[in-house]
Amino acid sequence: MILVCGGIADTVTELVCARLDERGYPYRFLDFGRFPAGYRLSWHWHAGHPEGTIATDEWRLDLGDVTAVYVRYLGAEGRVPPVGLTTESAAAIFVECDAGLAALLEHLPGLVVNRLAGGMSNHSKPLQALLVRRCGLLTPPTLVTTDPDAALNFFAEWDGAIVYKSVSGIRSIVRRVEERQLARLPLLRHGPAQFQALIRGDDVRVHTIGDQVIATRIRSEAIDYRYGRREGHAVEMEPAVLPADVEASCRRLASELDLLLAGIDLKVTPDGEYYCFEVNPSPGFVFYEQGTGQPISTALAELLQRGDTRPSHAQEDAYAQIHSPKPPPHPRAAPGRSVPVRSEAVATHG
Amino acid sequence: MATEAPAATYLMLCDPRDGCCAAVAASLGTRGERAVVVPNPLAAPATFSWRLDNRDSRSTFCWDGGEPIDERGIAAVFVRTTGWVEPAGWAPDDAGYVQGETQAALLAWLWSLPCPVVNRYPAWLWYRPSPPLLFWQATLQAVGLPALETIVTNDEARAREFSEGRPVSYAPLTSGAHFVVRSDRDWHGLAAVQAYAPVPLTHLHRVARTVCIVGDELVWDRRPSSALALLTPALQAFGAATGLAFVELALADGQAGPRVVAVDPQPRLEHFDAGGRERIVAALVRLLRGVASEVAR
Repeated sequence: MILVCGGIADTVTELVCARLDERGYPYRFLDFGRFPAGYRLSWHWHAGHPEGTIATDEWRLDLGDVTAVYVRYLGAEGRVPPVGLTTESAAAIFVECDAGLAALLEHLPGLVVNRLAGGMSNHSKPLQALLVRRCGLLTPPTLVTTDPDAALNFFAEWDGAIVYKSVSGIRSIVRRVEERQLARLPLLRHGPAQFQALIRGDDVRVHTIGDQVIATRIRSEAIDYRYGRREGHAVEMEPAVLPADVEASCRRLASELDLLLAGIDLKVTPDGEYYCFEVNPSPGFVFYEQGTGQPISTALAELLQRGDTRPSHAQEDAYAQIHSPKPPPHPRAAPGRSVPVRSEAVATHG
Repeated sequence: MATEAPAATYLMLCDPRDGCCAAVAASLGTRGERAVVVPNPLAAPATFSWRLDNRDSRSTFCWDGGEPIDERGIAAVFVRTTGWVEPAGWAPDDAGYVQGETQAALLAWLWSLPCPVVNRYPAWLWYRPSPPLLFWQATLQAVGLPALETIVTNDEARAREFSEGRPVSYAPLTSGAHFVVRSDRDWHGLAAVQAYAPVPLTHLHRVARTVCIVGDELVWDRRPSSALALLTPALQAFGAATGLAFVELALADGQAGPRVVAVDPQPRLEHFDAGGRERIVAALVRLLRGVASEVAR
């Protein structure tokens, strides 16, 4: 049985459910918007994996019968606040509920789209860049610094054609560095910023769904096309075909991050070089599907229906080997440049 | 004439009040090593720059107006902080932003360094430095370490069934608090909480023994029982499996045999007596220096 965990009003979750309905694939829905109201959840560890049940007044699901999970966590705005609680208490309750479900879903055998730990690298863009390099994709020349002089030199080195963007996932809008902003560089002494050489070309959003790769080319004059229309720029999308090596690199990147569904942001230059900017572990693919008609949600529905016949990571390997971005870096082991990578044994999750 | 290379620096990323870091730095100092204690390498008075592209990854770091240190001049890094930013003087939103940026940059930088880093935390642990026991269950089971049984439920009847008529412990997953559920009043209170969130419950356990894993070495707070001592290989395997060279576990030795009751990836010296602390610091210094000499070769 497929388990879908998300918000009934979330367009992505709604589309996943619609596709499952359309194809006649049975599933149970756990509504994060009101959970735990209306649900009875009990689970514990037994014989190496979680065991227990989720039930409502209409259905009861043994965790052992779950073959695949799609989960998309909600922000506070998508939830019904519990009656009688302050906003702060409600927020704390939401976090506690999510933690309990994450502890379960992280270790549930079978296919989970996606386990939370796999996407944690998304909180650090340069950490993802290290992995991007390993997977054979280009990463833009990058400077992370608290040194105003270093930033100024980087600006000069690229003839002023640089952008700045957050290092984390917070306030992640990409903006061009303008000459007038250089006067603010001394503020870097308070905390780091990330600068990158401006890469010219078309944006390409790649969705990997299991082994399937669906690419969308986006044409826009905006530095960050996601906000292009807001800034008065046209945004056009069309299906794209990636070179085989780039497609393989995207698959590898998603696989090494343990992401069965990933949204990978690329840019293709006029010379045909593909740069990778980041990997989104919970992509809002509706925007691209609506813009092009590409069957992303259908591919996801098929992946969920197929389930995963292979042993789960939790069963075959230690937790930290799954989620550690590289083989255990025991300090007594032979040292070397440490680049995030999981062991190949667990990197074949398809 | 050849120029002598500058001595490599041991970077201690910690709050200056951190006793463990201070002890390790002092011990390195007595051995003629240069150890620098830095609370946050990504804010003044530090200066930091890291260049990354497909060909190279190079960083430099300068502490409080001192000589810049190239990353190849860092012998090892001892990590006791994820880069705390003092929120005073910041608007709340901006403080959160700067904190997030600092943590993100520091995590990536530590993974980019060619030198040993103790601990080089994976992202999931970096952003949740003290995960509850539930999140360690898979690894513990994989290496053969039995763990305290936990149930997570919002079903009042199932919670009472789990208790078998005995008191249980309720510890929310997102706070360090824990409560003993014993009386009817406690159970009513727990049921009220269950209306809002499933609760994790465990049985009460005896006073735990604490063991610190430092590389391959184990330091117990007290002499372990024979049952606990038998867990030595599994404990060493846990360190290797998690990629944590420095980690602390608490184990209860009950009728059903030993059970892990807590895992702390930020070990605390104060959990050990003076002898234990000395052994831990010595093991850490051996770890950092031993690896560093391998790097030097």
